[in-house]
Amino acid sequence: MTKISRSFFTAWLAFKNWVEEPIDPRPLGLFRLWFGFLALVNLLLLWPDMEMWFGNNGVIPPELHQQLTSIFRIQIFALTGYSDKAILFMKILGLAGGLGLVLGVFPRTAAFCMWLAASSYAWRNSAILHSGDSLIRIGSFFLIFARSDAAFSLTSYFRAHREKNVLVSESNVITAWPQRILQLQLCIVYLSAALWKIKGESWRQGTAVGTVLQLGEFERFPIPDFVLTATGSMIATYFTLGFELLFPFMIWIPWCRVPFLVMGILLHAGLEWSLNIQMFQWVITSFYILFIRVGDKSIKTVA
Amino acid sequence: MSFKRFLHSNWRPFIVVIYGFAAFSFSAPEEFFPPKPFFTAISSRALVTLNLWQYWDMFAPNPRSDDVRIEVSYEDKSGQRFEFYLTDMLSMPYGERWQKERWRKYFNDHLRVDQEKHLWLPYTKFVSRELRRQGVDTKNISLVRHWRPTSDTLTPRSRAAHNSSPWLTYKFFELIVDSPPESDVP
Repeated sequence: MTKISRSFFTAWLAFKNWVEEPIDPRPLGLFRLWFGFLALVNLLLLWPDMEMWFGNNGVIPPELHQQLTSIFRIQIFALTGYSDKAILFMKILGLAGGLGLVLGVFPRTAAFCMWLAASSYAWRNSAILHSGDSLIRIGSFFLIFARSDAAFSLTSYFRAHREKNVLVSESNVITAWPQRILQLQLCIVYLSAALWKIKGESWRQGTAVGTVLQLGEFERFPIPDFVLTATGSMIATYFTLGFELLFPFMIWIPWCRVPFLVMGILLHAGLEWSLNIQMFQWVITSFYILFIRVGDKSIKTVA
Repeated sequence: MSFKRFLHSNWRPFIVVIYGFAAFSFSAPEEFFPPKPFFTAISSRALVTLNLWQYWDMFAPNPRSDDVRIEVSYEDKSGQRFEFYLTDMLSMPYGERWQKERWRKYFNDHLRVDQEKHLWLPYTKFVSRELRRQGVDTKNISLVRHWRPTSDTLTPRSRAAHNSSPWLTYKFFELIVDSPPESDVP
């Protein structure tokens, strides 16, 4: 075996260990609960307009939709055809999925239901989607493969009660790989977003945030005057760009992890306050839970 | 160790690696990831079929520099004209503005633009059906876009400028309703 192939093999074994090692179930359990709640809220916000967005008498009639779609996707309309019954199924699946994820009852089935509901409305009208919808679809999909009910679930509560068990024991650890994919997914979101932004002149010149803040269609709560200056815009623009570019790399360095999670929370809280963007900030920060473990005395991180 | 056995005992890390490459190549710009066409050709069908497709180009490469509102204007059978805004977001209370963010997405980002003119006729027909359901017969329905370029010079007053600076207006589509609108699609 050459030196290079030996190094590669060693690196692969370390990676394999990282992907397959048994881990504390609490971050994934808490993520499932909070993510399920947010997915439920997202569904309820969509609820009043579902007939308009997805119905046969809605804004995109079936004959037009057929022209707009090409590649087959797994979704409810593949079973029902263009039928308003599909909307009812989406509502039922979304509600069952959201509640199941929140309570941790049949969480794999619940994740499947949520994934199918989110995939179905994404297929029927992609022009109304926000990035939070994509995260809900992807997050639900990988929760199908995760044992996410080992903590913060009714199942784990009753089991612990029955067995008089401590919350984390040897029998109560989970395989890391679904959580690892979700962690990587968050890094992909930030890295791709940063690379797209770097292409834009306004992001390179530091004016992008100032432009967005002038758009009344996004306006939400009042913001301090200093943000609405050339300097304020430049700081906010470069902070956003720098954070998105660095997060995917720095989050894996143990001493950087908490500062970057805190910076991310501040960034998304600022965006949630200043801009009217539905759900995205909440959903993306829910993925942060996958990087933390609340210890007895201090926050410890897992990776 | 045979390759089959190696694969069998390493399927989890393989999935993580393959998904990572597939998702990144799908969503990243090609300029920064030259093998994107190769990876996308292999993996995009699977990502789309499983609904794992993703785009992360929010406000990028450049955010839109025009503030936009979409208006519907219609004339009823008596000749009286009525207008209502679909996406005058600032006139809505906070809760409604949040709930209707998808309206902004659909009408301002998609229905407004000429590249998506295939949405115009179905939408005006939808409005016609909705008004008819409320007992209003229409003669014509127009879609009007209003826009206001943002300022290059950012000041604390820039955010409130949507009330003072002039809006440009253009009627981009009109449906003449010469017969009762189509009944519900079977």
